[in-house]
Amino acid sequence: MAIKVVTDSVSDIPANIVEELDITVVPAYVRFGNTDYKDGVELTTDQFFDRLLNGPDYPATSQPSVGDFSEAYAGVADGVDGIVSVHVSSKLSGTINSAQQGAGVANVGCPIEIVDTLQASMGAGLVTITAAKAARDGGSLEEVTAAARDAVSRSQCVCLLDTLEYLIKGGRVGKAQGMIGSLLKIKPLIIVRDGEVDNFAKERTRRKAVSRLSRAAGEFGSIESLAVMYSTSTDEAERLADTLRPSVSGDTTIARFGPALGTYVGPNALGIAILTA
Amino acid sequence: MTTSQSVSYDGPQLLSMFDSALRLIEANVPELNRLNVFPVPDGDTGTNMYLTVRDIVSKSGPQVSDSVAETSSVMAREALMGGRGNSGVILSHFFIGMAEALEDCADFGGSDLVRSLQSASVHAYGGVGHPREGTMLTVMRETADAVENNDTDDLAGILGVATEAALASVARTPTLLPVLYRAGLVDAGGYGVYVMLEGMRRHVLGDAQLDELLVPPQPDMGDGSISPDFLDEIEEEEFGFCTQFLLQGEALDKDSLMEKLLELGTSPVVIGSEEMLRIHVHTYEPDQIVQYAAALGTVSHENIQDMDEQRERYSADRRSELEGDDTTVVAVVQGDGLELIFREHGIEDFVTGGDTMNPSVADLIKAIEDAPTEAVVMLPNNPNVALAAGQAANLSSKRVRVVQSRTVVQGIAAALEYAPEGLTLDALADSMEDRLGDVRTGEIALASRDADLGDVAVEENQVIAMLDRELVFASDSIEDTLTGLLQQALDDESELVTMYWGDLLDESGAQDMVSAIEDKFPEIEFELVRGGQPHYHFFISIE
Repeated sequence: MAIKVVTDSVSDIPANIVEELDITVVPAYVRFGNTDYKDGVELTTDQFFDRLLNGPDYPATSQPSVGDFSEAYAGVADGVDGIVSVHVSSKLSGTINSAQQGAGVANVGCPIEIVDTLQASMGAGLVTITAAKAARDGGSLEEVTAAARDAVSRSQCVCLLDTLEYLIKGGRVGKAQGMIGSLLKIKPLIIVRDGEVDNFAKERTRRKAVSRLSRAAGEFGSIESLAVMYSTSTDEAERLADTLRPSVSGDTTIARFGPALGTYVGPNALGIAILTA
Repeated sequence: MTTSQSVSYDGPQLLSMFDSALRLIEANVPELNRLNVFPVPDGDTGTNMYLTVRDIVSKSGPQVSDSVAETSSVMAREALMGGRGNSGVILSHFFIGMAEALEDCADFGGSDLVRSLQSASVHAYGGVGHPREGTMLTVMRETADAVENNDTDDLAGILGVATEAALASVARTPTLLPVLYRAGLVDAGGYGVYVMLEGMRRHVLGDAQLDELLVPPQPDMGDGSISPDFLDEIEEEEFGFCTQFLLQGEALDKDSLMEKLLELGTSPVVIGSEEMLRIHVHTYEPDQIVQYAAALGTVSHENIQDMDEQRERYSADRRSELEGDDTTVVAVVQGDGLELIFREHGIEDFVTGGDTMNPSVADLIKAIEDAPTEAVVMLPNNPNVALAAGQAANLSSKRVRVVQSRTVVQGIAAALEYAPEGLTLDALADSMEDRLGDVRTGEIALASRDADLGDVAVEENQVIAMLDRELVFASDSIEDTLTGLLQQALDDESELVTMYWGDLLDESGAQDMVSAIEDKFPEIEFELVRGGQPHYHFFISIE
């Protein structure tokens, strides 16, 4: 008897961890022109960034459908005691909505708990991983749900954008509105706070912005686990992970912004997600 | 009086121990002030204890003698003269009690400290009209009790026992005094006693760390910050005046004076002798009390403070710690392009001014008073304006911090940190100040006269370059001067040069200039922005 953990592709969990912890990922959609692609399934991240940078179309994203969720729940429900479904912030996406309706439609024989991480990317991913570990260790539905909700309260995500252009085009700029400027070039750092995108800091050069991001890691308390996310600059992510690894008591993971988030963060984005101890 | 193997102090050493205590108290004044809600939430316990001990230490210095009996008696006299506020006056008892305990002592060791603490506690209770538990009285008494039966005679050991007992006693204060429980804080005066003892202990151990910000014990019911409900409560109350003075005369009767004070006010403290008394009381009728005392003897050192005003400031500070401030930034700028840059970062209040046009203190005060919030940060963007801004800040009734930006380029670097809400005024100003070192400032202008400044000789009408306000280069062309400036200013870490062009140029002229030098510094990103400043071809931000 077991608990299954489901998430959506906005969590950006690396494939090896998805496999190892037996997490079910429901893909969001990315649309170029008139064609919808299932994030990570029908369009790889490399293909996505290539099209984002080289055009001609600017992509749009949409959440997984109710049908996607009901199929996913039906697909894992056999022989399990319950499903814990962990998702991107309800203030950034309608995913939770689809998941709730999907759970209703699926009519599976086990209870489904839906958890709003109020986070995005590995900010949601680390919550999902925490839940999946609790499930692997034989936790009950209540225990796995509680582990996820506890992780929600400890999860932080800060991202350095090379430009606000993509966030603005995608309409997800939220409270970071005040950072939009046109006179001076700014390297903005944004934070997902209370489920929404907010201004974290502004720097004028890439080097200072990366160093600010690195400093940010220590500002929330001691670090239990860390993920460094990147969109196109692998080396920078690895250097940042190396710098921060000594201050992390648990795992340090490198993850990539997938197409769904890549649409908003754009190229050369770098982020950290943290679970505080 | 002490065993041979333990430390014992002579007079100067005794005084020096309290100097260490003073330094530790000084470092913890803001925290002691923050905790001060009883008897009146006026946030001055730390300041009062610090000033009281400072007077004792500094004024006893010239009178110190080898004998601890004489030294402690000098300190007691200065304590009586210098005690400030409720907590400071009660703390004076510590010194008066100590002097009494040391009356026959040539030197000072562990057992003398034990007797001093006991005598101090007895004196303190005796001098207060209505002793209340859960205050510094309790902490002094419980500390004295804890050292009474200890098995060491060693000064450091006894101070170890004393500080441990004092801290435990401080932690219990909210359970004894309901107002502390409601506020969610431990007692400020009691904690001050602990800080003083800890400073003494560090001195004896030779621990030089006297600027440490100590952390008070957390009350069980909260997280250590003040309860918002309690703030609501005190904002409704009135407290009157804190009234303090010295009374000199003959055969002064402490008891009858205390009775009168209890009738006319609250929290009375009377200490001293038949010839000289120090009086502290909270009252709505300070004049009446002073008149009464004046009939008994000579009143001096009168100090009357409006506690409602202090309370107002105290609760504003606590609110700001809990909720952050709404803060306005006032920037001193000359140039419409530069103003736009500030606006882009949310700054909307300006005073026109710069090198050639310093605004008056009155202009700056007006800008502060016109700002829509009570908390204001000023960016003077010029060293001369900074002086005037400092005066304006002092004269204004608002809470103002002047961030010492010496150039508009530094001001823009600081502006990046601006968030209109959520941070306290100090946190915002501190983070803006941290930014000032992020950039170097270049300025390009024409020399108005011949000059020979150190390494650089300048002729009138040459193009000169300033780096961080120092003249560094002069030539006959803008391009050469820009190149000379950047060669000096750039290093391996440099990434970005932002050039704000002024009124002396037009856009295509400025663009030509940038294109010409861009090629000479291929590693650097150049950005051209309209500044609109008079007199300067370029302001340049180098980072």
